[in-house]
Amino acid sequence: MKEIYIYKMAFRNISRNKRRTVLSAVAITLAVIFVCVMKSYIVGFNNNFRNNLFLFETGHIKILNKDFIKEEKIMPLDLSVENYTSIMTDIQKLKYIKAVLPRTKFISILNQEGKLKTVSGLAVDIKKECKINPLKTKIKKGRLFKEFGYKQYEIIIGEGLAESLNLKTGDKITLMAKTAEEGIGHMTFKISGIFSYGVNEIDRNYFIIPLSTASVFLKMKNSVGELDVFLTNPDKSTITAHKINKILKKYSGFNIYRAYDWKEQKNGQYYKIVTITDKSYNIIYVVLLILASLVIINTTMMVIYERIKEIGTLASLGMRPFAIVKLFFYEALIISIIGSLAGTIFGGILSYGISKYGIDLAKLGGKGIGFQISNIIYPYFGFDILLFSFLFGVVVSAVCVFIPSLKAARIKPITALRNEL
Amino acid sequence: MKKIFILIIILFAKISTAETTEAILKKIDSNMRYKSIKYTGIMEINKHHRRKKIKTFTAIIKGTDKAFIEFINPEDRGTKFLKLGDELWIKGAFAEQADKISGHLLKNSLMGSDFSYEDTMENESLNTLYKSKIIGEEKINNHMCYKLELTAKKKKISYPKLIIWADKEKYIILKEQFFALSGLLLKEMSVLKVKKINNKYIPVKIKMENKQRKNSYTILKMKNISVNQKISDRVFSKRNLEK
Repeated sequence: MKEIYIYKMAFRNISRNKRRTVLSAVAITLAVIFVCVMKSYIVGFNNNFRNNLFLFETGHIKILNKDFIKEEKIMPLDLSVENYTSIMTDIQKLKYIKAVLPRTKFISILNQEGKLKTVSGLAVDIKKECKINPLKTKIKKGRLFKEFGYKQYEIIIGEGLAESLNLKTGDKITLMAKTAEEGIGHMTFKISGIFSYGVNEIDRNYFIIPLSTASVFLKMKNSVGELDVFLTNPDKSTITAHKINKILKKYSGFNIYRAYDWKEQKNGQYYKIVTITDKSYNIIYVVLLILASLVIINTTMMVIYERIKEIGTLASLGMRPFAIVKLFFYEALIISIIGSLAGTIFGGILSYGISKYGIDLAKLGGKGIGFQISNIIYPYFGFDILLFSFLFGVVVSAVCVFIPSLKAARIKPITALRNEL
Repeated sequence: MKKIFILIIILFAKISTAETTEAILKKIDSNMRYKSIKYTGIMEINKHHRRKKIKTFTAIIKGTDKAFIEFINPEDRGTKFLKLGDELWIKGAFAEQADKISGHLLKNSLMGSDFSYEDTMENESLNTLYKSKIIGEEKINNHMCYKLELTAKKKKISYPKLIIWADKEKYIILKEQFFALSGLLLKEMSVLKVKKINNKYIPVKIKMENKQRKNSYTILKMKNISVNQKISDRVFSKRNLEK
């Protein structure tokens, strides 16, 4: 039988039983929407986790004093990176370098009405920091601190921390910290602003001051705790770390520095967490794909098995088994293209909408998320996901029609007409 | 009869020893207490793989429960401590108010040295805090010393066990070991130089070693010492601290 006749028959069959056609198409549409939205969410979640880890913890590469790692728990500020400006100048000439951020992390004690509270501090160079860190947009109340506050040293604190300590903009707090000279830094700050990244780990525990203030508070004039390096391509972190280490060799003497790729930091624990998270979510996604496929397969098989008599009629009229299979294949292909297209469009609109507004996990969970995960996750919207979802719907429904239609086509016409299998 | 006589002698010897131990500690305590003392202290802080740090301070101490310390080296200039009884207050150069250091913070090191805040705060006599027994005699720097083992009478004491070597003639501690409850040796103090000022023997150069860290020790030198001078109580006030 000529192909063109099989196509015409397929089109006719589709419009003959509209209810059946719509049912199949809707099943495929729903499955594709589900696949599209879940992939967007999973990619968005993984991206969020990684980005927060890089921004707040590891950078893509971190440059530290080698001896600092041995005593990392107590954050010894005397084991710092000295002459960091010349190191930064040397590193910035390398390929893939997007930004090098000088930072100092430290532990501080706040005495509030006789109660001592440990808080985490971060000192940053705001001009360089804003190349990577959207800190300026995260100020919810008040304003960013002024640098070189010779009259009054200023500080910004996390929203969660402010709430727990009952502090607001304009309040003054006095902090104690161990300095790089192993003395005690003791300074009064005025809260100029309150920030919120939407990451509980940061908002509940951190305050931020300028590096210029830290140089006075922590006695770190020409040194910082670390240099966080950010790359244009994070996949090049290992090669770039190796190149940075070659440069650092010339900075020898009393203090020796080393560049640590994010994958090797904390003995590789961060890398393991990221890898396990990726793999876990991929497994979850595969399971979801199988579930979505089952919906399509079930619907398609149901459609074929209810048309056994029709198959018998076609066979008794002389249609060869392979032509019957082709007929059902083309029907499935047309319906799957329509269904997948609809699913992709609706799934895309839904993904796009959610990617703009985000999913508030904190509200869903009740308390808030821990570790480096934002309370609000913005799913990823990309044409690669739309394409994948479309092809998923088409391929699965087109492929899964083969087995039942092949089986049905091989039945003797008389058996098929009797609707016996 | 012979047995009873021997028992009496042993009992007498024990009573004599007990008195001698308490008397030794009493003499040591009397030597370590002054009505007041003023001095300039220089701490050399040495730590493995770290640059040596030098911290200079002036100290004014009255009795055993009032002390005012101000750091004058450039890196710590303006940092002041005030001890009043069991309370320790700090005021930094850039702070608008003083803060009280309490709880577990007192076990932390004083300005990175091997002395803790608690070490500087201890104001009770050894006899009050510890039970003691003589465990031998040894020579330290050519001085014959009593070797005493002290066990804490109370639970909440910084060092539940001490071993001290006290000069038999001058009744000054020349060496002291500080132990944790488990028996672990935490620190060891050695007096490197002693000076006689106003009929009192004062250790003017002390080495404190942290036995839990490799190559970690602090040497404290005392200069410009004046003892038993009249000092106004106004020095030991929060107002003076926050000036």
